[in-house]
Amino acid sequence: MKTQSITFIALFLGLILTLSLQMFTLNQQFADHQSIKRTFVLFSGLPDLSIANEALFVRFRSYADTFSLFSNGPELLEYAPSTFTYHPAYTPNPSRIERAH
Amino acid sequence: MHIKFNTYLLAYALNALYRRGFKSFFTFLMLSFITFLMASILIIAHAIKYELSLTIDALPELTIQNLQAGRHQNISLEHLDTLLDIHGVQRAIPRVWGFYYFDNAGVNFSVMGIDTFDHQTKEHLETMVTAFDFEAFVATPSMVVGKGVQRILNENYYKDYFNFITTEGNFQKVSLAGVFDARTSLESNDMIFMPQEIVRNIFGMHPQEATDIVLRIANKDEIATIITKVKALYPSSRIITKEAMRVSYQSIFDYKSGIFLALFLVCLVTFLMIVYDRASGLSSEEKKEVGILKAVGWQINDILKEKFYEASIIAFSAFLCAIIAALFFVYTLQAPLLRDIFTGYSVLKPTFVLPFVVDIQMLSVIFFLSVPIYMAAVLIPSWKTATLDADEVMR
Repeated sequence: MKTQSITFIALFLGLILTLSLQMFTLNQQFADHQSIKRTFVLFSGLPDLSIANEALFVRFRSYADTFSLFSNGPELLEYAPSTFTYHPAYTPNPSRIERAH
Repeated sequence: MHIKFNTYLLAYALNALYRRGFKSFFTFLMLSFITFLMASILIIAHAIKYELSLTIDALPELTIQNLQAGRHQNISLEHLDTLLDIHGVQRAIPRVWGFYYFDNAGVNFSVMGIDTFDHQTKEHLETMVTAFDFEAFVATPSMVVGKGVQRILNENYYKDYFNFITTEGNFQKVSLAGVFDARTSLESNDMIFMPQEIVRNIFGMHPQEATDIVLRIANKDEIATIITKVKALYPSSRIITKEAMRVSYQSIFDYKSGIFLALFLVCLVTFLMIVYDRASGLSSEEKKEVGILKAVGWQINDILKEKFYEASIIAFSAFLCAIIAALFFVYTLQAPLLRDIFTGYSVLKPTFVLPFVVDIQMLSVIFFLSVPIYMAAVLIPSWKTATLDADEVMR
């Protein structure tokens, strides 16, 4: 009767051990990835991930498109003013929102 | 209810699950699958978010672009000295970059010009490109490309070089000097790096012009003042701060998390349907079992303990199996099928080498949405049945 319990506990501990080993291995495997990725971004100075490159969707829209940060991108639908680049915070004059407060 | 671990009760619960064979296995499989789906989506979403926030720190503090009639134009290099004179500006770096549309494949390559005289360029390239010969790179018109670009060029029979068509209609032959490390694939996949003068030639740019100028600023408290000064000096300039990028990323995640939520809700509704099915009552066989147990002298709390053991065995095992499978699916198999949700229909798909990051908060969300809900779905109907009289239950 107890054999079944012991087998189950052994299997359960096996699962925990597998998960721990998996996490440890992945952690080791990806440990040096961050530094090389940081070096790359530091070198290129360009944002975004290389996920959409179709004719319509160029990368680095925040730099490439004048009026909006992610115009017509597959990731984001535009809605003013939160996704627009032009906003009045750069100047010493308060914005309408700030003035309201 | 005080629960003391009892191996006999555990053995009984295991036997009960074994007796119900297929039904127990199916419940375990369903629970594992739904948890696996939730975990995979959340792990990918979290990893992408982590990747972006990690790389954003390496971006320049300020990017200055030139606008003319509301359109982005090249910026004159004459501005450089004036910008460097502004107190607090550590470095002002002109950049030459743009997009090169490759008709044959229908993709945009991102082309970036590099300053070969910069002392850090050689060091950086040697870190990121295996077996890279910098001297050969400088000697002949050469480029370093991302994995995706290399694949597209190979498919179009360009093994060692590529012929760019300049704005004047001439060919600019550029040799392939190296390919970026696969670990940077999410960033470098569509990128081509070559000396600035070649990029200027391809894009037909004036030697005294750049696409934009980036400013490196040591003290971030000075950024606002520097922006004001640049604006006063060059009213037509458009200034993009690192902070604005961070905010825009946040709005992207807010939107994307809406998509995740939609997917997530589908999983959740399916799961809740199973839970509802269980909670709506035990099967007649299970009711009979509870009745017999009561008849032979088991008390309500004994029955609940046994049911608790049964539910725990299934829920915890399913949770662990799902997490192991999700990690294997995302990091080892690179999330086939699911990655298409994130990468869209792009021809230049990057290899999905996501950063590995364990987020306790995310794991807790997955845990609390699977284990306790399932356990409640088992315990509540058992409790309802166990409170009835034995003869009433068995009748």
